[in-house]
Amino acid sequence: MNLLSLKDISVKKNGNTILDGLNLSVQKGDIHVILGVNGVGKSTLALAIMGITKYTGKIILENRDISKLSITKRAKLGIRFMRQTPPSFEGIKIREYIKIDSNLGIEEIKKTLKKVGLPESYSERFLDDTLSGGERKRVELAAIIASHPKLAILDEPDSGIDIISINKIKSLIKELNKNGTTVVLITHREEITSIATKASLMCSGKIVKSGTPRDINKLFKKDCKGAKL
Amino acid sequence: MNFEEEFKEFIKEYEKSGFVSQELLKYPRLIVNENKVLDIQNVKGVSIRTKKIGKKLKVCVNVKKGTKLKMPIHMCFGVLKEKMTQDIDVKLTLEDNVDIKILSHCFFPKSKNVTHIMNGNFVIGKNSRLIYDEEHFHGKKGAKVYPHIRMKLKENSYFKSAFATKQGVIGTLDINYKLNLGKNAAADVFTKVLGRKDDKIIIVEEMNLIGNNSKGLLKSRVAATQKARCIVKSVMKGIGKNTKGHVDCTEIIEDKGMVSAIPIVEVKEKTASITHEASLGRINKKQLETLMSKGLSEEEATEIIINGMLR
Repeated sequence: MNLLSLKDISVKKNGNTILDGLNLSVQKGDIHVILGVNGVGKSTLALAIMGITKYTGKIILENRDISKLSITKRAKLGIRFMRQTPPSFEGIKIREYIKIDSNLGIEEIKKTLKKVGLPESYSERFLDDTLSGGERKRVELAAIIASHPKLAILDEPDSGIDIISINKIKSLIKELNKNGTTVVLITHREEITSIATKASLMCSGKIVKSGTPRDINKLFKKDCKGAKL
Repeated sequence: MNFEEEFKEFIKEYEKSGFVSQELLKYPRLIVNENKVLDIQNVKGVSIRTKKIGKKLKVCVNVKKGTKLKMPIHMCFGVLKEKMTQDIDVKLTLEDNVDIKILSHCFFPKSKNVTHIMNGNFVIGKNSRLIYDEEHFHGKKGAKVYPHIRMKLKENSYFKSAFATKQGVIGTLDINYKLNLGKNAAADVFTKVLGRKDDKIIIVEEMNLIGNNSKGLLKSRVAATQKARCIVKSVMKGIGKNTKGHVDCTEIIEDKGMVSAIPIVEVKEKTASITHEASLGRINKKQLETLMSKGLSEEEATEIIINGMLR
C-alpha cells in the first residue's frame, strides 16, 4: 500500500532546476533509501515533502493531497523530518525539546537518549551550540523515536557520525521502522542501503530507478559514483 | 495604612508579581516600599544601613573581609502606587576575600507613571566574588526604570550578573553599567530583555579591562515584539596586557519591533584580544521550521525560541 506518492515534483531556485519532475512512491512499512551523490537534490526533496521549500507537483499521503498543507499540518498528519544539520536552540534543554513532540517522562527520555548513544545526563543539557553537529543529530533522532511518527524523513542520518556508531544508528532506524514508522532515508553512502527494504537512485533532480536495495546499489556503483549526473 | 498592613500588602503584591515571598523572608534582606524601609535583616559579616536624604534613599551595604555566605542577600525595591518616583542610591562594598550572591527584585505592579532610579556604586575587593541577579516586573502599563551601576573590580575578583525582565510591559528601561576591571579580575554581564507594545529599551554596557590578564564578557539577548524599540551599546576595551574580552549580542524582532546594536571594541595594548559577534533580525528560519515540523504553529514555535533565548 502506498503511504507517500510524489508526482511530477519540480523545484527551481535562482533559475536553476533542483528537482525536475520527480516521481516517487513509498510503500507503507518500508525503509526506502534515496541514494544519490552530493548535489542531486536529495535534501531539497526532503524539504519539499515536509513543506519547507516551494515546489510544483503533487504530494499524496495516504490518498490525501497534502501539497497545499503547511509544515505544521503535515507534521500533525504524522510526518517528521530530520535535517542533515539540525539547528541549535539557545536556552532549550534536551528533555524539553523531546517533550515538545512526545508524552515521555524523564526516565523514558533518558532511556531514549541512551539508545541514540548519548549519556542520560544530556537530558539536562541545553540544545545549544556547545553540542556537536553529530550530537544534535542524535538528539533529533531521539525526538523522532519518541514521537512515533507515521513517516520519518531522515536526511543523511549517517553523516557526521563516527564509524563505530553508524551500526547503532542503523539498528535504531530498523527499530523505528519495526515500531510502525515508514522511513525515507536519504544518503550518499551505499553502505546504509543494507537496512533498506526498497531503494531509489536519484540523479539530476530525478528518481531514475527504483528497485531492490541490491540492484540500486549496483547501479549506483556502476553509473553514478564519482560522477554528478 | 499602618506598618503591618503595608508590609502585608507589599508581600501580597510581590507574590502576585511572580516572585516567591518565602525566599524573600528567608535570607538577609532589605525591603523597600517607595522610599521607605520596611525591613532590614543583617547577618554576621553583612551590614545594610539606610539613610533618607530628602526624597532619596541611600543604601549602604558593607560585606566584611572573609565573609562567605551560602544564602543570598535579598534586596527588594517596590512601588505599589500608580504614580511616584523611587530614587535609590546603593553603595555596595565587598571587602577582600568575600563570596556572596545578591538577588535584587524590583517591582511596580500598579504602575501608570512610576519612575525608578537606581544609582549603584559597587566595589569588589581583592579575591572577592559577587553573583548579582536582578529581576524586574513593571506591571501591565510599564514604568520608567534607570538602573545605573558603576563598578570597580579589584585584583583577582569576579563579578557575574544577570538582568532579566519578567512578563508584562517594560515601559522605558535605561540600563547603564560601567565596569573597571583590575589585575586578573573577571566579569560576566548577561542582560535579557523582552520588549512589547511601545517599550523603549536602551542598554549601555561598558567594560574596561584595565588590569593585566583581566577578562570580560558582555552578553545581551533582546527580543523586540509589537512596537518595541531597543538599542544595545556594548563597549569593551582591552587596556591591560593579555586582557581578553568578548561581546555577544543577539537581538530579534517580531511584528513592528526595531532593534539596533552599537558595538565598540577597542584595544590599546597589542597583547589584548577583544572579539565581537552580533546577530540582529527576525527569528532564525531554520529553527522555526524545525519546531513547526514537530506540529507547532508559527506562533508557538516563536514563543519557544524567544523564551529559550531569554532564559
